[in-house]
Amino acid sequence: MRVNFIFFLLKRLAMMAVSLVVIIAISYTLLAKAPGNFMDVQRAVAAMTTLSNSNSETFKIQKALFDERYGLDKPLYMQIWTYTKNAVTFDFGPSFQSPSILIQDMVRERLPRTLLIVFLGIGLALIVGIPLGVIAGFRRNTWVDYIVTGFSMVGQVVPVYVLAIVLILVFSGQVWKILPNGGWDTPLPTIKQLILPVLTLALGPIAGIARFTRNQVAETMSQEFIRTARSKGISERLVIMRHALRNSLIPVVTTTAPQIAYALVGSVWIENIFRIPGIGQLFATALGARDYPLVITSTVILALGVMLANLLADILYSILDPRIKLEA
Amino acid sequence: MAVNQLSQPQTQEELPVAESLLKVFWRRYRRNTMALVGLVLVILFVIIAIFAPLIAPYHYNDQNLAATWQLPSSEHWFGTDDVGRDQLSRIIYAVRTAAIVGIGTSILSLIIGAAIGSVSGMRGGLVDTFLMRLVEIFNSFPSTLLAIILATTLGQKVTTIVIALAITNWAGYARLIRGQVLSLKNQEYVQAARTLGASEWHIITKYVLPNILGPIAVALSFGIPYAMVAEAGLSVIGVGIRPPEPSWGNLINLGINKMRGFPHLAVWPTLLFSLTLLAFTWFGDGLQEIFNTKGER
Repeated sequence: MRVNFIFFLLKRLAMMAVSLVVIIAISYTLLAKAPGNFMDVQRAVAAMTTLSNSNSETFKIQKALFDERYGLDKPLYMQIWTYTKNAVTFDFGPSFQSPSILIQDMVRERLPRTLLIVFLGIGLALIVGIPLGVIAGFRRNTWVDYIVTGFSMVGQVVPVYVLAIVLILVFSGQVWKILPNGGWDTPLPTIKQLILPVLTLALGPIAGIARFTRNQVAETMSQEFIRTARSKGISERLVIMRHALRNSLIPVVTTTAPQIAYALVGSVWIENIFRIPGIGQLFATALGARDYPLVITSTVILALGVMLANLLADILYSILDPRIKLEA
Repeated sequence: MAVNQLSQPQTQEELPVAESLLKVFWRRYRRNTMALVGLVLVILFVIIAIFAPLIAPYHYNDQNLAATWQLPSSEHWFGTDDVGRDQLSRIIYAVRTAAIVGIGTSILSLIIGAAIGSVSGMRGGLVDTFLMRLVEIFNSFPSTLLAIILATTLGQKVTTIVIALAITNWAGYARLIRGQVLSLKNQEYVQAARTLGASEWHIITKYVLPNILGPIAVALSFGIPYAMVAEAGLSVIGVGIRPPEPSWGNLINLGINKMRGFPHLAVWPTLLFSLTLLAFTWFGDGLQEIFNTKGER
């Protein structure tokens, strides 16, 4: 068992490493081939703000210096190799936009904010979603069930940016004006600033977890051991608490991983709409400025988060349910 | 002769009794109310997409700089935008864009997925291992982020967005097709065909494909709203289809940016977009029930 587990872990981690290298290589190549690079954007900005002739020799010299400093004059595979090699030691180099700040420092500053809203969102989703699902599962085909299923249908289908608009319109403008619609100017956000982004992020996972839990509970309740427990004459309360709930809640662990993935990717939109300086916002602004090291690093960080969530869910599931064998 | 005469009336009597497969499906589909609502809305969606120029009161790029930022009125039911374009007409044309993106993306990713999945399933061995590792890599990674990067590279037109979304979204189809191929490959009638010397291509097109149309239809009906969500998501990040060409994404994006002063610009696109997504999901759920691909829901 021990040896098996270590073997499983090593295999999964190796798979993750391969995936990350593939992702780096693909996104690096794509971005290098993208029309318009960082210097073009800078030049366009310069041409708009000042009256200087942006076509001049100075620009060519600037670009050559820039390419040399970031190693962009080297062949593509060398650039990818250097980036990957340094990334292993959590060294991502400076970004194009702010040459004096290292990307890893930006990540250190911004990642906690993203994780804060993601984990608050997922926590809220578990606290609300599981009870909703349990109630709906026990009262199958009643109005409670229909409301929960209807709600989870909407919550799963409607994307985060649409939910964000609806919540902002309702709570921060048209209907009530009680919550700020975004912006974190202080190092630590106030509770009021957190409510809307976290709620937006949580609605999808609440829906997903509620639906999954409901189906699990409904399935468990139709199993034979429940009938046996009932025919023994124990109270319905005990049947639910001791037999039904335990068996139906363990699989919920597996559905939490995709929800974390959803929340991490969703943070790109949430942080942009609510103006939260996290990794998701970093990704989008870097993309707009063609700041490639920054785009790739934020992609890698988000992808790593998604993979770790999946791995953790698999391990946790096997601990909670010993019948499950870990297989990579 | 005598045998023929005897057997003919029998078959003619049986024919009217046997129901066509389509009728059986329809009878089952009809039982699900939400699926029916979804079907009606999906048909409506397709009609609007096809006949957009006839339905829309204005062209989507008819600018009227004397009438910018108008509130809803009898002339412009949903108001006008920053350069005085009729919002209702833009929404109607956005339906057309969404139809192209949704259907185009899911069919293209199905083609990629079917090619890789069927080769993987039929060949087996090293080819299978390699292709399935590739699928795993694509599945372990949030494909939306890759789609965003790819869209940046390819450009921000309808065709390039479709390609970007299809390239990042084929893995699910490949896995589905491979699973189906594997389970069908060893069926007796397939083996019989192989024994008779049928080529691999013949087997795939004549025996395997017709049998997996159900699951494919279900996957497509869920792939369409996925593609629409992704397309609009790209616009909200700023790498989606560029105006003046209207899409749900750039309408929603304009709505987000102007939410303070002109909330009606945000309300209608988001509401109608959500309704479209729900319609496709109800439709897909209905299909899933009749083909019973994932058991009872």
